[in-house]
Amino acid sequence: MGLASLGIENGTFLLVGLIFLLLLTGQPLAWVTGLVALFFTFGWFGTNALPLVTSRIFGFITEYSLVAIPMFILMAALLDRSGIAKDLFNGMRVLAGRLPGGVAVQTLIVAILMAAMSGVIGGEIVLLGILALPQMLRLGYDRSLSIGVVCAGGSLGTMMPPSIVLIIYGLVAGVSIADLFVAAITPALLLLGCYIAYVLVLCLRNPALGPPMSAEEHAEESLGTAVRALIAPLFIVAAVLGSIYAGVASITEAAALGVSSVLVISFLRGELNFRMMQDSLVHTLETCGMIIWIGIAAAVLVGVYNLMGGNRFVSAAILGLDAPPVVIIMVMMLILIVLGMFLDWIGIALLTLPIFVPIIRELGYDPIWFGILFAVNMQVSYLTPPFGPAAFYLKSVAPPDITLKHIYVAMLPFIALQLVVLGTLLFFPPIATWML
Amino acid sequence: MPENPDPNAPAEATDATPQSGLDRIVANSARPLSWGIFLAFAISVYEVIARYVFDSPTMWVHETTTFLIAATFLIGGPVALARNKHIRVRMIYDTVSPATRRWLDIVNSLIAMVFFAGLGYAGWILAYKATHTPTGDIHFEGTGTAWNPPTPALLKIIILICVVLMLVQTAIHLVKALRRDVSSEENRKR
Repeated sequence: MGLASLGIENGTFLLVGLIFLLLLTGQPLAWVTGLVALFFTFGWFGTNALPLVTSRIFGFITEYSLVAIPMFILMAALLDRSGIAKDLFNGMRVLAGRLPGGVAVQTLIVAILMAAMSGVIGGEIVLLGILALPQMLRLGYDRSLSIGVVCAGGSLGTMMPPSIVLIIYGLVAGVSIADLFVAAITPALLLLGCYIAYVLVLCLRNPALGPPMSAEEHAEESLGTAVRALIAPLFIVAAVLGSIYAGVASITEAAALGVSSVLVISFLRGELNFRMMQDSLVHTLETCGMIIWIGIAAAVLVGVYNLMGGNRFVSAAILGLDAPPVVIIMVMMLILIVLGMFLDWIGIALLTLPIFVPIIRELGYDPIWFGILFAVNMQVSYLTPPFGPAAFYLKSVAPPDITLKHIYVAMLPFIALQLVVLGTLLFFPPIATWML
Repeated sequence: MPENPDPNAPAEATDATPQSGLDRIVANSARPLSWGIFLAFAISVYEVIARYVFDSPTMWVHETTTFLIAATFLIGGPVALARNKHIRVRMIYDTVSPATRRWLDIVNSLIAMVFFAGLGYAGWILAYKATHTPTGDIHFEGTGTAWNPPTPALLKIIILICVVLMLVQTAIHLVKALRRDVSSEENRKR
């Protein structure tokens, strides 16, 4: 065969080169990956191998755990269209108190609660951008700090269970998604703690960065409204995470229970109508089409590549570095961070994990722990330029005088905090695994 | 990677609106088809209730939800294509002149058509095998469980339909790009 004579090493370079070249033309990621996969199937193995491609597509889309993804997207779409998040944010104003930087802390707490309600990111950044950002800017908060808090807080959903990033990891790595959900909690709270500490240290040293609310404004809040605002979100969290941790429902069923809890609450709030349901369903269909076709194409590509001997080549190259295992993990993290600047998380997961996870196992590490590292990594990739989706989501709702450049600069300290947490998890795995 | 609310995209609404009559049909068909997700949701909840409240787990829910969601995933491809929602790197695409962008659209449509044609060929073989016995008689492949619904055959047919649909959508985009007159936009820029 034509391409096979290249050998796996040159074949790998050709494959990676083709992907990046085609990506730059503005061709959708899914078609680029799929086309390269077809090209190598045909060129390396000949026409007889083409049906392999479609049977991999069939195998991928009929994975039962994937059913959870549209359920969580639907749940998030309904949440976005209900007033639950708005009431939660307003109710939590009591937390802001008269503390410098209080509203930023309030925003972060609301962000983690929203992350625990749904596994989808994006919508959360948009909501915080609408609710929290104007509030902070009005009070005279430092612009960079406000933007950074919204983006970093809004990205906590990549980590915090029920995150769809962890679901895909569990599926590809073949580990228990429920275990991943348990292991992710402490690191997610650690990240939250770092963000809060950063905000407080900055604002206590220089209160001008986050001026406290006036006494009149503060007088409006009461503990009672805060508690009432928490009822609905905690009910939803209990429906989803409760049923997973208690072991009464599969991830998919828990997601379906999550959808019903949101439906019940928005019905009780008098918000539920046909239009909201229809819009949410169409949004779900569209978002699924977007991410699943990237997944389909990546699954085909990695299938073909492994058939070419790619996984053996990469693991021989990585293990052949003759470096200590920690260095190998760091190299993987670096690869993930670089890819994260250009590719979508689901593409990265399906392309790299089938190769990385066996190496992790061979080195004697816990794949659950690596899954948490992966999730933190994807959170970093959510913020990093030039393709940090967080920035695009926020830009779509931020005041027009805030440019993409402002947003990227504002996110830098938070990216640094994420990298610190990533390093901490790397050297102290029990932070993730102690509850297992 | 820039996703939906992509402010880097040119501000005009044309970006997400369907480009052709076929795109409009596909985009509108998303409304009724999206209720498949609702059905999958409803029967999943029913299953949990049946298991814990009535203590009688069903045998059909698992396979039905898998089928409904797999079909949703597949249909999402043409729908996202009709609404131009597929994730792409817009760094260069957005900075070039309208004339260059027209050429990028032409080349990209051609490349995408090669992909869909190859995938369509593979999909045809798969769909044929799933609906015919080796002797050529029509027989729909089932899941092989006790219930044994013919969903694998149906899904393989849907794969083929979606790929062919995207091939036609892209062909129309190619024709539109070829016919697009960019001279007026160029002049407006000056």
